[in-house]
Amino acid sequence: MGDDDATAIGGIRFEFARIASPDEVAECLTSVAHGLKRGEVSFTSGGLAVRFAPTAGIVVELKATEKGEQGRLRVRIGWKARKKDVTALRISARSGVARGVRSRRAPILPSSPATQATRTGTILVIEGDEHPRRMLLDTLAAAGHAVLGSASGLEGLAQFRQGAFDVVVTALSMSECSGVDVARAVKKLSPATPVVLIADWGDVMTPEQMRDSGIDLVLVKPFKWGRVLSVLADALALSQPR
Amino acid sequence: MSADQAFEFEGVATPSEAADTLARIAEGIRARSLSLTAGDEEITIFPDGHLMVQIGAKRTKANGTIDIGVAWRHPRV
Repeated sequence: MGDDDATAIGGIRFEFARIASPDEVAECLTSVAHGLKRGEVSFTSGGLAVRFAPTAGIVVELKATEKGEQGRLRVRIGWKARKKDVTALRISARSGVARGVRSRRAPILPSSPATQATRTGTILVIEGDEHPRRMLLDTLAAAGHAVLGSASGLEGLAQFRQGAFDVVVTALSMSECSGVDVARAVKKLSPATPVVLIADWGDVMTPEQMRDSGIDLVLVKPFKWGRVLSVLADALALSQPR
Repeated sequence: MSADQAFEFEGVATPSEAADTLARIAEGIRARSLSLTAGDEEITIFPDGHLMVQIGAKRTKANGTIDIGVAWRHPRV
């Protein structure tokens, strides 16, 4: 499967946080710089290995502050696909359409991200550890999602076969049936159902393995309320409304 | 301790230019002293000691972002 195919199945996220020395941070930035020159930036520290291929039209944002005893530096590199040329837009006057009558054509603008973010769904959470499972279930339920929790991969798959779920969230490390096994089984039963993998630091998985396993998105511990909801919103955007 | 300072910049770059920018920032961090200048704005920051580094990256089809945040606290003298 080519990289374009991989990106077409959904978004990929990577998050990493740690205490480091200035030299280590400099080394990290240098590594990203080399990746930008090569046309591919890879992140492998802390576990999951993911690749990014920034295209032309990069926007670099820098923010730096020194306030009192604290200092901060933020570097943001963003890239976007080239927007369509305005000449591709066709505009014409239409006669015979009364004012106030809505066109049945599709709207020009797609649904806003905000609309997607507020969509709720039925989520199956498979996590062997009770505390993170409870945290995920409470967070998702509070956001209006219908949730069902499962303490093992096998139990979760049995529940998946019996129910109708929009998204499956599964831990990677579980006894008997791992998150990869769960993802593969879910995709076999229902290829359109997005699978979100919960990963710990130290979990090593390449993008190829993610694709082959049917994993659409990754949620890295420790959880943050906003991050969980954001990833679930992205997953729901990938799923087909039932 | 110097007075409070803040600096913001946003610009379009090629991948090579973005890489050079990051490489120069890396040099400054390695030297524990980094000056950023854009027009009339200028800031010198002194990242040292234990730095909290946060990296977030997101990719959706042809769009994406790489977000690198570094924070530090100067020791009380």
